[in-house]
Amino acid sequence: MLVLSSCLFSAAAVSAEDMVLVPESSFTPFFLKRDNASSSSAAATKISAFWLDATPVTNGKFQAFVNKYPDWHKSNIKKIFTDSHYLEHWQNTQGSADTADLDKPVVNVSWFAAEAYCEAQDKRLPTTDEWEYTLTDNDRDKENLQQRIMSWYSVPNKELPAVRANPANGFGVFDLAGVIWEWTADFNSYMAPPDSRNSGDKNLFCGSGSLNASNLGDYAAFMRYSYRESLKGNFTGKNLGFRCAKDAK
Amino acid sequence: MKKIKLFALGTALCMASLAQAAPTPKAGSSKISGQEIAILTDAPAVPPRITRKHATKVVVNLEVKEVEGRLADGVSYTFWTFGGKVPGKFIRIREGDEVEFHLNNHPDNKMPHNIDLHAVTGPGGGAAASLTAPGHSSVFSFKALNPGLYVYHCATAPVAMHVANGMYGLILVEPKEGMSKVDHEFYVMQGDFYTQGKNGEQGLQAFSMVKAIEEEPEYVVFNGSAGSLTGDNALKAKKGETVRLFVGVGGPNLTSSFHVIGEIFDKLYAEGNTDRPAKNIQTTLIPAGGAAYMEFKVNVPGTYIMVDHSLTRAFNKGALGMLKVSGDEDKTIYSGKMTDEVYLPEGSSMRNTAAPQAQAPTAKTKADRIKLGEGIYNTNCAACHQTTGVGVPQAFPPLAKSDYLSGSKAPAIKAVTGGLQGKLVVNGNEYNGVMPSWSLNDEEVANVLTYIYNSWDNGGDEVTPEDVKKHRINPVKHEE
Repeated sequence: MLVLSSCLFSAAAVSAEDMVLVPESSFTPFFLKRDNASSSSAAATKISAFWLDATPVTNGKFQAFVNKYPDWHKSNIKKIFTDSHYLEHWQNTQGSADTADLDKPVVNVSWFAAEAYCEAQDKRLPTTDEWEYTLTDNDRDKENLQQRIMSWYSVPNKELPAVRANPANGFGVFDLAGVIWEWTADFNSYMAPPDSRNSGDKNLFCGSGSLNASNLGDYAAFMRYSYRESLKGNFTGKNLGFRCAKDAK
Repeated sequence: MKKIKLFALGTALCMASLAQAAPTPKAGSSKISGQEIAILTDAPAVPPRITRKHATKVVVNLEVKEVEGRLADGVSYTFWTFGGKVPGKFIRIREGDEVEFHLNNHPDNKMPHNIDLHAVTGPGGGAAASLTAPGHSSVFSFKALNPGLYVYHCATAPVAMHVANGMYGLILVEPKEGMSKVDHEFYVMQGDFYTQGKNGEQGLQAFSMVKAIEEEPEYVVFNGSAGSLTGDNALKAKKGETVRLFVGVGGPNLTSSFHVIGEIFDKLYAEGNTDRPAKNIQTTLIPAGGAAYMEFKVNVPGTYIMVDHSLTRAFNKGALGMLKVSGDEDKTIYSGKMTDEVYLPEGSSMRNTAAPQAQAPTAKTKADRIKLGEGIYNTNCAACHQTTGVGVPQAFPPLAKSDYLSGSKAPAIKAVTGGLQGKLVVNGNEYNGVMPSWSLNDEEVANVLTYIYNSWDNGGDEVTPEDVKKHRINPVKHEE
C-alpha cells in the first residue's frame, strides 16, 4: 500500500523503505552469461521493472539485522559462510558497529550474509544485469559517468563516506559507484575471464575477455566484471558491501 | 689459421666429453632438493647470482599494492605494483626449480589482480590460477623448464590498464650451468604511461583510457618514473668493470630500441635467450612483453646515457637513464675533444672570412637584438632548452623564469661562450650534464642573450657586444 501511494506522488518513485522503482527496459550486458556460451556475443536482454534500495545497506541497518538474527553476529557466524574478515571493522567488545559509522555502508560481509539480510527484509540481491543497468543510468551523461567511475576504481581504498554523500543518478539511486563495490545475486556467473587475453576456449576459463565484451572501450565495466569474477561467496572485502532489490509485482 | 681452428675444435670436443662424463640430469626431470625463499629486489638491484648446482623448491611471495607515487617532477600517479614499486620485484631462479608462487592482494587494494609469468609453461602462464580478490592470496606452482629472461605481468581485465599502471617485472631463469660472474648487474624496465594531463602537467594524474587505446603515451620511462636513473640515481661502475644489464619492456604498447650512448654491447643475449649471445651490438629491439640482457666492459670513464633510440621518447617523454663510470681517462681509447677549429670547406675561405661578416646584420636597437636573437636561439638553443625555454626535466635546465639568469650577466655569457659541465642547480632542481661552448661572435651572443633575457619573465636586460667581449671565455678565432 505504502509503495503504491508513494508512486503516485513522486516522479522518481520512492517507497517508504527507501527503495526506488527502476522501470522495465532492455539492456545489453557487457558479458555473456556462462549458460549462453554458444552465442557469439551478448544480445539485448529484457529487464523487468524492479525495486532497488536507494542506498547501500548501512552499518546501522546491518546492526539491526544482526541483533534480530544472532546467527549472523561475528562471533556466531558459521565458518562456511565467510572468510576470517567478516565485519572486522566492528571492533568494539560487543562486536557491534561503531556509532560513528552507522550511516556508512556496511562492508566486510560475505555474499551469504548479504543474501540472508535481504531475505530477512523480504527482498533479494539484485541480479548483475539489474545492477549494471541501473548504473548505466539510461546512458545519461555517459562519458562523465565512465570517467568518474574509472577514477574511483583506479585508486586504493580511502575512508568510506556516509551513504548519500554524492547526488543520486537519474533513477534516484545513490552511490552505485564511488563508495564501495557491491554484491550481486549472480556475481560470478558471467564470462569475465581471469585472463583477459584468452580468447580460445570459452568454457575453460570463461572465455574471451575481449572478444565477447559488448564494448571494448569500457574499461570500467571490465574492471567490475573481473572484480566479481575474483570473488567467492564466502569472501569479504574492506570495500565490498551490497544493497537489496525486489520484484515490482 | 688452420692450426688454431683445429686446436679450438680439440678443446670444444674435450669440453663436450667432459660434460658428458659428469652426469647432468635433464631439466624437467632434475631432482628437487631443499627449499628456499626467493630473494626479491626492487630495480635497479638484481638478486645475487645462483651458485647452487641443483634444482630446488623456491617459494616466491609477491604482494600486489596500489600506491600513489612519483611519475615525474611534480607529477604523481596511482601505480598498481608487484611489490610496491614499478617495475615489480626481480625474481631469480634456476632452470629446473619448482616454484611455489604466492600472490597476495593487499586488503586496501580496490582491484582483483593476477600474474602471468612468461617463464611458465601452461595455459595463461599462471593467470587463471592466480586471479585474486583484494585481501586474499592465491598459490600456484610451476616448474621452470626453459632458461631465459622473462617478463611477468598482470593479466586481469582490462589487461592493458593493469599493465599501463605498472604491473610488470622480470623473472630470470638461470641456465643450469649458471651465469658468469660480472662486477655489476642492473635491472631496467621500460614502460609507457597514459595520463589525463599532458606531459609535465603537475599534480596527481589519472589514467587516460582514450590515450591508452590510441597508443599515445605522455610518458615513456625507465623504472617507473622520469629521472629514476639519472643524477644521484644513476647506475654506477668503475672503469674496467663488466656490467650486465637486464632490460625488459612492460609496455603496454611500445617496443624499445634500447641503446647505451657511447657503449657497444660486447655480448647481447637477444630476446632474453641464455645461450647464444650476439657480439658487438649497438642497439637492440625489445618487444613489449619481452626482455634482453647485455654485457659490456666499461673502458672509459664518463656518463653513458641509456635511451630508447626512438628518440623523442628519450628526449621528451622520459626514457633516459645514466650509467656513470668513474676512473682515470684512457686517451688511447677515447681522446675527448682534441681541437675545435673552424671548418672551411674547399674554395669557401674567401666567403667565410668576408661574406658572413658583411651579411650578418648588426642590431641597432634592443628590439633588433631581440629579433635577431630569436633566430639564433631557435637554431642553436631550442633543441635542448625548447622553444618555450622550459628545458627538459632532469636533462636540460629551464631558461624560462630561470634563477640562473637573475643576477649578473657574466655567468650567462661565460656559459654560452665557454660551455658548462657538471652539477648545476637551477630553480631548485639539480642538473648534471654538458652544455657545449658555442662559436658565436660577440654580436650573436649579445643578441641571443638579449632575446633570452627578454623572454619568459626573465627581467628584460640587454646584453651588448661589449659585455660579451668583457666576459667571454673562448675568443672566436675567425674574428681575430
